[in-house]
Amino acid sequence: MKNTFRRLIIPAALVVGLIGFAVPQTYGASAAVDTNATITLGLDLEPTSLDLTGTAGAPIPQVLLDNVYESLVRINDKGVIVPNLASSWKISPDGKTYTFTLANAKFHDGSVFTSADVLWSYNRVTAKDSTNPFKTQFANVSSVFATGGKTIIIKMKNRDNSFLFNLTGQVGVVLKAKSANLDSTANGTGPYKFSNWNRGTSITLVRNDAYRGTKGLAKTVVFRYISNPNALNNAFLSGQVDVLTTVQAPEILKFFVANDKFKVVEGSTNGEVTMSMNNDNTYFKNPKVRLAVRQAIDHKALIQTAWSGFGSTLGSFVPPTDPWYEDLTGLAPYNVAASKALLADAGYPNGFKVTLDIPPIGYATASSEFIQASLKKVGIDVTINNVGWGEWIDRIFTKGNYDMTIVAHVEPHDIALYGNPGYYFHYNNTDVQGWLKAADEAATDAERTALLKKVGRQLAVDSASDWLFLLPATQVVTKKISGIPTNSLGMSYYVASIAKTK
Amino acid sequence: MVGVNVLIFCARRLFLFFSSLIASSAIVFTLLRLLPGDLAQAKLGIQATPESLALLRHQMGLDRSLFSQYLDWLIHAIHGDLGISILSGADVTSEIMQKATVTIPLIIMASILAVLISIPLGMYAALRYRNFDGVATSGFSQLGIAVPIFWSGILIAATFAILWPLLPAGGFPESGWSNPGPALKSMILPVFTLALGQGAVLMRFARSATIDTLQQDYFRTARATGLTRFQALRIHGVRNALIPVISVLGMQIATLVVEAIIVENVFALPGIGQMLLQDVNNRDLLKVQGIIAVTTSIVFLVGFMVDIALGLLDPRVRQTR
Repeated sequence: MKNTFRRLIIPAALVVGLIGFAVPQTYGASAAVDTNATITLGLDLEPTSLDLTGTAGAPIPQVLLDNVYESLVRINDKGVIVPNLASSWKISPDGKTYTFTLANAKFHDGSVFTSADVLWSYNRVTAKDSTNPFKTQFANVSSVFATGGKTIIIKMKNRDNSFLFNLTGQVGVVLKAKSANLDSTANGTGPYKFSNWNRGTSITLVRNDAYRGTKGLAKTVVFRYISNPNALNNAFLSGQVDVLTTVQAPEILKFFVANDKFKVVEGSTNGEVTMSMNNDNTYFKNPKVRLAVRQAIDHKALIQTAWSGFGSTLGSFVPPTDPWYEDLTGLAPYNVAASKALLADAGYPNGFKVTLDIPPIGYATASSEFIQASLKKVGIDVTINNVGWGEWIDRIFTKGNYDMTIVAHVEPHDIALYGNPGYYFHYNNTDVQGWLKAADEAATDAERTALLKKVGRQLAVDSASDWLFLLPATQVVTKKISGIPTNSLGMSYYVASIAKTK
Repeated sequence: MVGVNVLIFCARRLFLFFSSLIASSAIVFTLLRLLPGDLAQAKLGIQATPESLALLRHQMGLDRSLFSQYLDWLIHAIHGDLGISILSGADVTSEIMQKATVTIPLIIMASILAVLISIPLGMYAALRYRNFDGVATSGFSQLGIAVPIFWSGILIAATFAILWPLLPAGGFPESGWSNPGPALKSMILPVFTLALGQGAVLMRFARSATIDTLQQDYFRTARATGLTRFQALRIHGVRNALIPVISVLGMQIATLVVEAIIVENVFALPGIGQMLLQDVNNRDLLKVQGIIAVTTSIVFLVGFMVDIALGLLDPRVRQTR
């Protein structure tokens, strides 16, 4: 029960939400879809504000991105960037000029979408007094201008291969020019309209029947927020919600799997549960010690113990859904004898003492004791220290003052974090930094993928951190529901394809 | 001259009430800002640049001195304006008022239920304290104290909402009290859970206070006039036995406010407690400050009323300087 209460304390500031954009999948019934249906989704974290241009935190794009607000481009079911508010685009050969042709669209308030709205929205991101949390994703933008009502041109300072992908996220969202009250209301162009927000309880979206593309299947979609995992499960079991979008206590999944009234849907995420070893630490600055730690942990058994067997092993900081993924788990296989030998080789035959700082979130608390026991076998004496998120961000993340800690990194394409020696990992490899920069400016996708693959492999070779497991996207639905987004690869929970049968 | 005494007594208590409020708000304000975790960081997330953070801190006035921030807050608070949450843009006063429509009825109903269960049962357990049923009643109350409220809440929800789906497992209707039927229905399990823990504590006090009374000389004298034990207790004992129970009730209201946070969480009730928990997690300091100011005033107000009630009940209390 202690754990249950620890799990409640999750900051919206950290991007720890497990749900995101999606690969809609139909499983079972295509029987009479109820186009007047109200579908209630059960989630754990509520947004603090509706302003996704001024507030970070996964819950905001989860409900609004791609459903209510749209960007010029979007990621489709297969992870490919496709037209959205831009019907087409061209990138100059030097990669420094993007020309977007805009689609015919209307905002939910009835006004027509024009290039002026894009200009206003994007200039707002780059403005001097902008506090957009994702401002750095526009750091390479030198100017944005319109030619006519239907064309937007973005000039870049340097080639930036992440830019188009970044545009699919919340930084690329197009608001109606001069929008106000963004905290409490949302006027977008997407397949669903914002209807109301009952703070502390739910956000209601209704279908946009004037949508230019494929319209939503359900008339009303309610995002119901319940932070206590037991209360959330109860709401699902008693029929108050149709979809359990997150399972924070995976031990309960066995019950759902066994019950034929429900269906457990498993998908993939970008959430690498990372056990960082401070690379500036006396012991951990030696890669042999870091490898010894990784080899002392039986990751398959860890997943069984900590997350009831859901989730998969990871060999580096790359999820299997990224093009530059390769299975690198073989580079640090579970081997206690090898681990002891490495420690002896590094000068610590009798081990040493370190502290493992654990933030209050399920996967971290659930893994900590397993890791403590595993490392004890090779002589490393681990003290578990529970910290609040405030302290975690302040002492560990910002000041980098720690030995070991566990947190899941869920942002898509976040491998570049290892290119910043100031980041709390304190990993400093100039080859990796060079490859990351080259990848950003590479002329072709193939070249970029090859470079990032090299980075992924080097991180594993250096044992930059230990990657405990990949968080699964596990959801539970009633038999009447189909079309939920299965994977969680971006920041949005796309609801237009979710249907309920009569 | 009793009237003047009562007035002086009330005035002293009132002065104490307001000075405690100001002192507590200053302490809370300072403590909240000493905690690690920064509002600008909470709003912009971990990927924000130091420049953006500094800019936002300036825009939000977080770079002013603590004292001027506090004074600003206090002056507005005295006028009933607890400010606008920087994180959510919501008006703090109106949000608290709205959430209070869940929490206040929850606490009042639970207190009434707790008193209704505990005082008769406690007195019964006292009258029969040498008998099996008296001991058993008292044993059950011990169990009620020992079981943590979040656990009993989970069990109660699992039993009466999932196993036998008689009542909602949690939540509160969006229409609120304008539709009293469903609203009341969704309150039954939380009120019962909250009252159970409170009732158990109160019952222990009611029992021991009654046992004390039973052993007093005046009680023996009353019995000697030919009254039965029950009659003597009803006529002479109850008023005396209630004094410690009322003081405990006053203190218990404070724990009730804290326990309401847990009960609201277990039953997903959108009340003040649930909101406080979220705001603490989100580092929405201004809102946390507002909520704590309101809840401490409620606790102080109850303490104030208990003092007055005790003064009216027991003349000795009025005379203490």
